[in-house]
Amino acid sequence: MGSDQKQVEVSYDVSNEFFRLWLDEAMFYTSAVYESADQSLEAAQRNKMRILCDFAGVDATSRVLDIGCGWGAAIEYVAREHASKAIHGVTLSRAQMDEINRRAIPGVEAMVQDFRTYQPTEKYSSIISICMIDHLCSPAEARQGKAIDIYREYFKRAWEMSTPGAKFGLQAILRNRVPRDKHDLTETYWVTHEIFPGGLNPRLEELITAVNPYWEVVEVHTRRDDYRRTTHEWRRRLRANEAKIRSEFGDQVYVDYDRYLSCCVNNFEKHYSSLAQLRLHRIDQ
Amino acid sequence: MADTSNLLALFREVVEEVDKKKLPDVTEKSVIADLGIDSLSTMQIIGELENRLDIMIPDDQLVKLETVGDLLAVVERCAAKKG
Ligand SMILES: C[S@@+](CC[C@H](N)C(=O)[O-])C[C@H]1O[C@@H](n2cnc3c(N)ncnc32)[C@H](O)[C@@H]1O
Repeated sequence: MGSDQKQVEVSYDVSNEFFRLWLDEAMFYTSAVYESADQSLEAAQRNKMRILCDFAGVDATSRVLDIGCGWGAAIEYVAREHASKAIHGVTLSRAQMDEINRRAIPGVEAMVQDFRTYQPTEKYSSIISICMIDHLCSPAEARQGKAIDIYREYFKRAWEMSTPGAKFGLQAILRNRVPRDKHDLTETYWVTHEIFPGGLNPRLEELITAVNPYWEVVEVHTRRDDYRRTTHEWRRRLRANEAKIRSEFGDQVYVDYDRYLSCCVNNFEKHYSSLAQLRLHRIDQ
Repeated sequence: MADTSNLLALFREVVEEVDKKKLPDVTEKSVIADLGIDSLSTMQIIGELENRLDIMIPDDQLVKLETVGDLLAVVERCAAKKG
């Protein structure tokens, strides 16, 4: 069944102040998309949102749902840039919800809600989901060959919640090739089980298969090097705050997150992991 | 061309090297998990088989590998294509 609420909270409820120290100022916990060699992480995160809002057809008249909305960075961007008619977000993390409430973003409604059981009162014309799908299928379920059915159920739920003509901007971290090297394997297993328990990154072909018969894949971009650069920048900021993190959140948190981010940089560099952005159009029936 | 004639013997040799385990009674029907080989070791074993046979197995073929025979069938198919 992928990550349950307890497991999601292992990943995101360390402390909002901890994540604030090394993520960009809007607190996206997902890859940015860089336009140039010297672009800042903050600008590259806005660029990523510009792309996803275009994919999802977001404008002032849209009803927007962000599935797995984190600390509210994407819904805040939509509110600021498009002031859409409805802007909703769901997360499983209560700490993230506290941060969204603290931001008090006008026109935004977020809730602690499992997407799999969410029943909106009105349907959406634009769906955004950034690296939430990796929480849905556990490593054990993938080994049993259940991944595609699980992802298809997610695309089906998104289809049921959307209006005819709806658009979907999807971003997903990908599993390309499992390492064979003992060190890289051990680190990747450690991250999968200790930092993101219950989840597993999908493979691109699994996503392409699972969207059927609900969504048409109109465009796919892989952005492996953007995620390498993003995680590298997160690690740089984490290390710049080492003393503060060690004293406020404990040595173990610092050591674990340095280890996790180092594993990410390595995995993107060596093609073990990648990132995809998909422009999906609803197939109306 | 890779020598796939005695893959089971090669498997035994690789397990001994990677997992420091002797498996005298292993057959193609043996369930990998029952041999005390976890998924992490399985990937290392696959990597070592790839090295020895000079092949690269696509990851999408590595699902539902329950028995030693399942694994060796994937290895054999890949090695045969190379030949
Ligand atoms: C890696 S974070 C990404 C957050 C955000 N989209 C961003 O770009 O920063 C994954 C998010 O998915 C949420 N999530 C995981 N499983 C969920 C579920 N079943 N229902 C709703 N949200 C879920 C988590 O609570 C978290 O907010």
